[in-house]
Amino acid sequence: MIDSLNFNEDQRDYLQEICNIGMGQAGESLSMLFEQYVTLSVPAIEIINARELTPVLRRLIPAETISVVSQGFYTHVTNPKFCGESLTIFSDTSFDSLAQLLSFDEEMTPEFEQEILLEISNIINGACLSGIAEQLSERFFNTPPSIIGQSIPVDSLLSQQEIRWDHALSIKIEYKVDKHSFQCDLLLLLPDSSIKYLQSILDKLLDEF
Amino acid sequence: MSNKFAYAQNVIDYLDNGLFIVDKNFNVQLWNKFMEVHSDFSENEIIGKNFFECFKNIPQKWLERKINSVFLLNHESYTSWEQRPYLLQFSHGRSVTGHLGFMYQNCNFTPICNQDNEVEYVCITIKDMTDIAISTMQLKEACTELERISSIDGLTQLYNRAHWEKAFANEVERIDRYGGKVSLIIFDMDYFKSINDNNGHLFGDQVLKEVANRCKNVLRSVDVIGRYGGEEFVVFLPETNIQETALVAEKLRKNICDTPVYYEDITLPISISAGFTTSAVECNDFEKLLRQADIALYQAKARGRNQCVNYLKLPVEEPKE
Repeated sequence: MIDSLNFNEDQRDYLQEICNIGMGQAGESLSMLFEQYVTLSVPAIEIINARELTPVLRRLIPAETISVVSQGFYTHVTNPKFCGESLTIFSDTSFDSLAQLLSFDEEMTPEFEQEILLEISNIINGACLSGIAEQLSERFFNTPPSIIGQSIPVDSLLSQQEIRWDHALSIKIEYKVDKHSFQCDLLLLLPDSSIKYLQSILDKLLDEF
Repeated sequence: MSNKFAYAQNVIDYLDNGLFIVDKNFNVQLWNKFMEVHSDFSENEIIGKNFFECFKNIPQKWLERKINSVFLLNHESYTSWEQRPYLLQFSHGRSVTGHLGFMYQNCNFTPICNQDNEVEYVCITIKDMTDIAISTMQLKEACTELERISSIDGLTQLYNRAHWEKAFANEVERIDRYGGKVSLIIFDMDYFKSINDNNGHLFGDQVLKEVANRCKNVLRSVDVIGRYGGEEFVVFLPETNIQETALVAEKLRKNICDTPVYYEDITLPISISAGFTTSAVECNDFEKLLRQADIALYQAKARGRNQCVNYLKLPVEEPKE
């Protein structure tokens, strides 16, 4: 099963390239929006076994407690369904600097902190997905973001029973905004059926190339 | 085609959501009936006007940045009533039965693109969430109340055993991890069985309530007291050494036995016996501390009651464990 899901070298290179260009655009948009320089890491792409998601998360996110916002994304293609879930993971969050980033000048309350997490996640997610979608000539639609945990241990993020797919393509991107010392990770997770579909799009694009 | 469009216009107008569209300068391009009804601006009055000039009481900088992010990223944006109750302050349909002062709203900000896939407008929909907000808040209140009830002893209004034990176990775990100390007092009503037998259970209940109240007057707000069993009470005192604990135990004993209990023409002097102990430098176990205090309490009873016994001062030949 995992073999057929693995990318061949061409597919992998091309996907990496697409993600790199997408992130470049995302970085530009975010810098414009926040009016300061935003650094994005080179996306780290890997296929992970769903059962190993927790250990993989622990490796990818070396923090004791995290706050996580989840957002689903999908295209209007129905067969096969191309969809996934993005997790925006905040390891050490200073809400004051995030608030400045968003031009919020209201008094800090728990609701307000949640709104900031949701807003930043939605923006980062939007920038990244738009970047990637454009490269793939697709358009992603989203579900509203929702907080799945605030200051929780990494291990308690995912309950094994809830995972209904076998493998996931994980694309990890790190963000840094220097002046406001804010950092977070975006994890894009695609289930099996979407990986296959992505492979077919990559093959088509490679042919055209 | 034009018929189809007229049909769509009708749908937009009579949608049970607010829907309006702004351009890059925040000038209103579309304003449906829902918006007319709730905002006091008719379509004719507002089309072409700057949104922020019409609504001065909204956080403009925040909303501008939000709408700009949709233009820039070509990506939806959202607000939820749970974090931000409303975008525009509207009255809601439950003006009689709802106790809330305004309509709770979920809003979506959706990009509308031209043929070149550039965002030309942003469409904002406002969904009335008041019903859900009311029931969610009622549910939250009920959960908070349930949590309170499940942790409280109904008679004395002190913490019940399960809740107190959990809090004490957490405290012991905390000091073992981060350092510090905690002391523990266990006390028991003297001759409670005969109080009940001679004066009835109602009187006994009154005694327990009275004791709980007298304790609250003596203890600091950081001390945590619970009803452990029938006539047995427990207190843990964070960051308190054994000498201070001895003083508190003695104060509790004195406060309780100084005044008799009066209830329905009966006047009865009461007293307690107490045992206390404190945490070690390391390797603490809350059950061990409970055992120690219990042994000291047993000694207080054995030595004639109405007194406090320090576990750490028990002679070695007396059983410690």
